[in-house]
Amino acid sequence: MSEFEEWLRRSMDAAVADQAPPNGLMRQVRRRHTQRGIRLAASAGSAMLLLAAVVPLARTWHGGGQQHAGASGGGVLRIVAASGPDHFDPVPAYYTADYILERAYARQLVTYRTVPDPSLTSAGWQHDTSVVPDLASQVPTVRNGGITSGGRVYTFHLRRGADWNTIPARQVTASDFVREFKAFCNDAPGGFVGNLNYYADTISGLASYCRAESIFFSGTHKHPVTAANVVAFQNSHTISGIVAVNPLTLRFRLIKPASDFLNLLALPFASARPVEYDRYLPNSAQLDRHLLSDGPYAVDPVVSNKPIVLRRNPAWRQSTDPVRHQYVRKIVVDIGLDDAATQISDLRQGRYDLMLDTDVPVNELAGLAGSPEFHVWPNANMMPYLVFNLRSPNARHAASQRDVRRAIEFGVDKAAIQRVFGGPSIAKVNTSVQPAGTLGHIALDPYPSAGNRGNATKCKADLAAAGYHSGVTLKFLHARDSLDQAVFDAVKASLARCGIRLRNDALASQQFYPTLGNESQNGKPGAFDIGLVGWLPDWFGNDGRTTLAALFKTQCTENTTNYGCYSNPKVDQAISAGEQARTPAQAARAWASVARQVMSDAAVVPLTDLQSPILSSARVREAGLRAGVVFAPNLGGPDITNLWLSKG
Amino acid sequence: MSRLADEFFEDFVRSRSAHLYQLALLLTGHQADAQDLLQVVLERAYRRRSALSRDVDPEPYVRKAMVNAAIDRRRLLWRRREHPLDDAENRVEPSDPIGQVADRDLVLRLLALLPPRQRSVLVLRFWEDLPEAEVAKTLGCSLGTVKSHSSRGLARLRELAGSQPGSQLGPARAEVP
Repeated sequence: MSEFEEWLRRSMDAAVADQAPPNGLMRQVRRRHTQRGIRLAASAGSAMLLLAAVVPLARTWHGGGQQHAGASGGGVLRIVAASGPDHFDPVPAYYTADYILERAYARQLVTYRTVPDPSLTSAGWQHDTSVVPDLASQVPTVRNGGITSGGRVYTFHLRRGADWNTIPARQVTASDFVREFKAFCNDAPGGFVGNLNYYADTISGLASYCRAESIFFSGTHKHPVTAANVVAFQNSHTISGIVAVNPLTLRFRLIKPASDFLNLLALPFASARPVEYDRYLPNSAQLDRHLLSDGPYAVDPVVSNKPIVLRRNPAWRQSTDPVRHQYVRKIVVDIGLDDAATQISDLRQGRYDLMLDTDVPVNELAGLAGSPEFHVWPNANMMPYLVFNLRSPNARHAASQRDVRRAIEFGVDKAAIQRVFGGPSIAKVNTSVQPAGTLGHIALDPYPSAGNRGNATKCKADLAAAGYHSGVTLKFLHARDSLDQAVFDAVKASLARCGIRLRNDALASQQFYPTLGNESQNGKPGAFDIGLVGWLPDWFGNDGRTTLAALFKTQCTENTTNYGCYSNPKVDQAISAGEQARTPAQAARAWASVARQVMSDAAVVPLTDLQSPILSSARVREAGLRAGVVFAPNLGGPDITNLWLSKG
Repeated sequence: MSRLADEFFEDFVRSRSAHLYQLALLLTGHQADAQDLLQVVLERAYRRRSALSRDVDPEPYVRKAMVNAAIDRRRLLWRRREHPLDDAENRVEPSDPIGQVADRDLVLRLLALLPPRQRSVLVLRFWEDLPEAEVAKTLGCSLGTVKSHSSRGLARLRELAGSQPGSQLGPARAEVP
């Protein structure tokens, strides 16, 4: 920018800064409109035709800065919760309950709509999992000039008129996003970003920024972790790949192209962060008492052991928000009621409207089926699956032999697992590591059996091929939980048919994942041969980075999510291709090839894809439904900014 | 649906009218012209309010309509008949008493001396902060045309600013002994 251009910009700003149109503008516009109508009507018939042409057809419409037909405002939405949200600060918040509430007060550059999605093949699922503009005025594409440099530069223009609820209200700016990313690697207790890898692997300069911050606070200088020091570091360091070009233009530079970068920016970690938050330590109680909002609701100061209250945010405008609404007057979350059956009876009797953090228990599903306030929505996950510990020396390294693993792939009765979770409408059988509804999904069933009940003959044959003629005994690790125990029982019964004996070890959940993930380090590689785990992606659709890469990229390190230390150079190569794809189509091909190879190697046994049951009180309404609410997959629950209460 | 479209449109006008009026002022240089331009364009948008309410953001449409109406030669001539260029009453208030900007009206007078397309490009580029591609889309011309209008407009403006003896403004002042 030359000095003269800068002068021009400032002069133009100064010349018009406090200029406003005269009052009654809308009245003037309407008068002009009426006069024009009279002129047109007075002239020939062709003018009438013209008028007819501009009269639009009435049509229902979802999202886009407008209210839903039939929606009404007012009332208090009452939510019941067992433990409530973990965090209010969007940087560390990484839990369903956090996401559900953040929807109301923290906005991103891009986000997802909430629309009814009766099946994975429907347009609804596509809509639910495709990003749309939020604070950005449009989704950047190559065509509109928002994605340049071969997919490595993303430019966003922010909506004018989207404000923080400060006094006076203030425009949300590009710097508010830079501030959020600068807070990712803060050293405050519990303040670190929920998932750094997605961003450090993609955005130029973020990893080195975080290294510098770590040295600043824990290196030789050891600056004490105070709000002043955190903000001092943030203000004296830059992330090379994130630049506020001007107050309303934000530019990201990536290390390599990433066709899912917009999905990363739609995660609540990438919310705007107001400058006022610099006064407090990230994730602190002080911050929670001073939350600001750029969404339709603002959070009252948070006091522990008190209900969480959200009220309409007067600074929010529907015209600046294409996805959220401001129907109910107030939202109250009561915490501490952890019995699921009691919560359900509270909803049935109208004492509460929604559950925040409690699943509908399997034994309640049958009683709810057929009720108009109860729906089961699609999901696309691996909940649960079996992972083989390829490092285990047990039974002559049985788990490291592909034929043994294939025997188990054939042997497991997946229909029995479905019954554990409540039947086929709740649990869909997975025959591949790519559930239906993910980008690049191909119909893949390399270990088929009639009715998915398992094939004992094939199981025995593969076991014999591996040299285990008189069967084998393996160690099975699962979390101490009644559902996990029931899944283990079903797997044990089905594998017994082909001579595979399982001994189980049930661990409390706080020990379970560390034991799974740290085997190669803690000197007990034989702690398990088969583990029972589940995986829910952080976003849906173009989700290879959050599923296949997380589970199958070579990464035998502490706290790995590749629990079995699976490693195949061909798979690593395809994962890299998927992560660096410039287009979703390229990514789809790469992810499909990962799935094919992983299934051929029999690294894991996919079991089921758990769908999303959700219940509401009888008075809650949402567009497109007679009763009940939509499960928004990217929130992991209902979208509280999309609901209203029936007056009846 | 019409009631909803009305509400949507009114909400848009309420929240964006100040900004749009400022844009109109930069494009026309006169308060009366700016008011008129804004009303004409908003009436045009009001006719299409139902369609616009289905867009995420109606502003690009309104902006485009405004810039094109301001460039429209026939309309310009018509305006000239109604308001002579030296109509002092309709000028933006001169001189900022604080003195930080000696004559904040100057930039409006200078812009008014540019051909309408050059003026529009400079306003969209440097006041609206639109990327060049977006400016091209708004004006319905090529990227190359935007670039050439921009550089010619800047050069001409620099020349005009430098030749203003009373001007306290801009780097052009440095070139004036």
